[in-house]
Amino acid sequence: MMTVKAARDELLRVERIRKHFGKRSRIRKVSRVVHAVDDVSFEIGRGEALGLVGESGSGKSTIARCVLRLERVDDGLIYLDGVELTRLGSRGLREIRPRMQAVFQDPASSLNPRWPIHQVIEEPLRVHGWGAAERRDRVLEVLEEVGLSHRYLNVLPHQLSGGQQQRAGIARALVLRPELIVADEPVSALDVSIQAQVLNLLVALKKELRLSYLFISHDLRVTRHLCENVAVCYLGNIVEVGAGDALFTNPLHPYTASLVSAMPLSVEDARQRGQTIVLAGDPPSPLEPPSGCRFRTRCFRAQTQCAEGTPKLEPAGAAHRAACFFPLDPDFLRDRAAGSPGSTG
Amino acid sequence: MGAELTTVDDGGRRGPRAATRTAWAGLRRRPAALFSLPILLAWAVVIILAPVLAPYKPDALNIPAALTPPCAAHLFGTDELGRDVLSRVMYGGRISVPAALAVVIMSLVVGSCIGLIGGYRRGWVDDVLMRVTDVFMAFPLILLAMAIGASLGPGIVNGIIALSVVTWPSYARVTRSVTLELRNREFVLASTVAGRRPVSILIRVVFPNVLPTILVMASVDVGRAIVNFSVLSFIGLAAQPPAAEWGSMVADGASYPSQWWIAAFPGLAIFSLVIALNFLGDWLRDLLDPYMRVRRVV
Amino acid sequence: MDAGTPLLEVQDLHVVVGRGADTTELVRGVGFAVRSGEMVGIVGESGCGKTMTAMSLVQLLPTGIRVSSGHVRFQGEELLGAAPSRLRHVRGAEIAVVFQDPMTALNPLQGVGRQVAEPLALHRLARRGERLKRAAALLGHVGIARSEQRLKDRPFEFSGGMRQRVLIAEALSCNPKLLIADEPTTGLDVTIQVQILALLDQLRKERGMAIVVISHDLTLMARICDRIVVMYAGQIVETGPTAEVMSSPQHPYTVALAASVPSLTTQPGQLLPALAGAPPVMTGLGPGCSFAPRCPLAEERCGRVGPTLTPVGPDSLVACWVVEERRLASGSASRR
Repeated sequence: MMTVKAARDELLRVERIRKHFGKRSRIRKVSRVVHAVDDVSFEIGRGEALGLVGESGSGKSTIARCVLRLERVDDGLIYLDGVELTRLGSRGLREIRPRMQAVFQDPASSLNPRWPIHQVIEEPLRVHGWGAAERRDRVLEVLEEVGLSHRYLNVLPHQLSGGQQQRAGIARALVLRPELIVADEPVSALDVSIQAQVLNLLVALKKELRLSYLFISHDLRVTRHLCENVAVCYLGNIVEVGAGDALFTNPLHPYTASLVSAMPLSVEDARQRGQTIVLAGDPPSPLEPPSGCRFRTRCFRAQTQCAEGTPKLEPAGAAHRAACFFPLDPDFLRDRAAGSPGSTG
Repeated sequence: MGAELTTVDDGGRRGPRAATRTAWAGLRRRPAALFSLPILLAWAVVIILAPVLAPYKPDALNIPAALTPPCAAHLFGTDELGRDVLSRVMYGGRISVPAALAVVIMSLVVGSCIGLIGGYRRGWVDDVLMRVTDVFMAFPLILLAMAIGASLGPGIVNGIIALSVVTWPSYARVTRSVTLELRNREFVLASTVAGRRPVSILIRVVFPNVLPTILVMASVDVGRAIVNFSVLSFIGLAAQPPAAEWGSMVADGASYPSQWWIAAFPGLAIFSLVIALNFLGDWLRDLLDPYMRVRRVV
Repeated sequence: MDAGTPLLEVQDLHVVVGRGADTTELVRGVGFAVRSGEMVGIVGESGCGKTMTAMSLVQLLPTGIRVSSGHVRFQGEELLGAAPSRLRHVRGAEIAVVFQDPMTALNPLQGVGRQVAEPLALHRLARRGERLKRAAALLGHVGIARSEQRLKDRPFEFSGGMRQRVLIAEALSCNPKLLIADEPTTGLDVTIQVQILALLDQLRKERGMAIVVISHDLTLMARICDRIVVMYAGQIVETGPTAEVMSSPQHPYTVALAASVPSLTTQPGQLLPALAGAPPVMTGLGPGCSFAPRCPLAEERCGRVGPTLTPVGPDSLVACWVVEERRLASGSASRR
């Protein structure tokens, strides 16, 4: 087991991971390889939350699975509190799993439909050999933490509402007292009024239990609310990373700007923000990502240079960085709202 | 702002009794199932209590009374050796039904193991297992059963083995396809994240969710196995005379076409059981399925 | 029909499921109007009855669900109880529907050209040769590149956003006066959602078509709709011009809905003003206001008697006792 000492109180470090699916055909020229994740790096400190925002095909879910070791990366390293995960054998993996747990997107399918709720929540405890009495106590404790009544211990998942099911899923994730929670779109499948409840729960738990989150979402607003830092993913790359507010007010990458204009931060905003950025065309297929900057085919600022080189996240080391040869000016969005001639898609 | 976290107790969607309510509702919706349950129960009673209920012994020869049509003394008539057809039909169930159950249970166990392993591991393991399954599936049922019967020799147990060999592939396929779909479901991933070992996941998480599908298959298959077992006995490979087995009885009756009762009643017995089981299968499917579905009416 | 008559008028619509003693009302007295060229958004969470309302406009309710009373008048003509042949004519030619899930709304085995042209064939609006040409033109118009070459492509060869465009093209083929779009952007990527909305808006302006959009996403509605109708538990709780409803929502549910989405005024890391409880199950509703159990302003009267929609502005209505009382108390006739 390799351990690496980190500078600040770092809990998770991901270094240049790459994950491709599929086989490269030797017979045919065209490869059927899905470039899901390419050269992705980020860190999460203890008690901190990082949001991964992107649309379908962005690779954000794949990144989450690689961190959870549900997939093996093709390249790169992942450290959880100094323990390197990618080369870990099954015993080491079992030992470290209690420290990182997951909450999934669809509350209905993330709970075993045949098990009553108490069994769903206590499963991680059983797997790690806790005795019956200890399990019972811990389950009751964790139900309290997520605000789910004891009445529901013996019901089946489909008898609960979506919000309650998600709370049960969160309870299960908490039961082993993890330090990191990987949440894959945990509120996307919920009604808006329930979304707010569950978000509040996640915020409260983060504070009380000093949890770190890797929070996957397509919704920039929700992500900004929960996470100190946000990384924007496009077609397997991180194109911008920074504090949530910074991304909203001064996006550097054109893709971030279009996401922000698609999800305004307030309903007045929706009407006042002037023209929404409408991107041209469909996202390219991860089977054949464009050469150079992958966003250039839909980018309203693309130049010839964008096809030749691949931009890196810059300025290196800064809190707010973007991978773009022609990053936006700080006042880009404000100028658009005012109606000045910015280019549109 | 001043928002507070409140304990959620919003009543959930349905009460804990919903499961039994669904079962009864299912019966109401499918009246055919309502009619099949008494038939199956009646057969169960007959089979278990045949020695008590049957008016005659199945082997009791009574040559003078041979080939008598249905009458007061012999409700189903007698066969060519004077044996009471009603009693033989009752005793026949004691061979056909347990044999069919044995076939289905063995096929289910073997087939689902193979399907689970192949579906979950994928890769070369899956390929090999599926090719083996294909090989067995490619043989026509009766031919293969005959070949096995011929090499092992006739007899009830060998008949059961022969049929199982031919039946397990479909369970393997169905199990594999359900496993393929389930292995990426989030609750299975959740068990992995919790630290559960793969074998444990297969047995305790995946398999219980596969079971409803193959149980429904099995309920219909019991009917089919009864028929197939009868076919094997008909051609002399499974139950041997003088055993009262429905298939052999039909075979016997074939030689006496004007004494229709010798073949008709065992035939009807097979028919009634198979139909009842088919309807039961439909109802089972309805019952077990909605469990996993969440329907929303917006 | 004179200039003042709305294109579509819904009055006191009741939709129920079940029979006899087992009846549950899913839509409980909904009424609204849509004028030509207007875009109206019906907003609500799951179970509020918005889809049932929309589907009853064209009599496309699922089995077991039916309209028990009310009026649906299209261009002055009553549609409920109309002859099936008349309904068939109206559907597709005058009122078109874009369904939620493009994957299931399109025939996976047929080329998109044929499917887009199908309404033309059914309503005999063009001859065979003409139809495919028109389909190609429509597909091109909704933003599908190289549409003539793609007429034979199957739905699976298109991405989600493009399939939605195909559905829109099909809906437009007979030049309907009214388009009903049921969650047209749900499940699509955010940047694609923006594209589809822009497309709908553009088409509406070009053709003077009225559009009714059903959604659970209030912010989405705010972008493009002229008027908003907010539904809860089978009833309308608030309706009015978008600008007003968004800038000063009156009904506590609308307020809560808008506040549930993190915005500039919420501090990251702070708790959102979330509603307790969950949308009610339609079978257990009592006589009072159905929102009362979750309402921060609920009074004693709210539990006993359900409020009716009362005007709070020239074109706005709200169903809430507390709001009504406040207005009467302040004596003002305008919202602000």
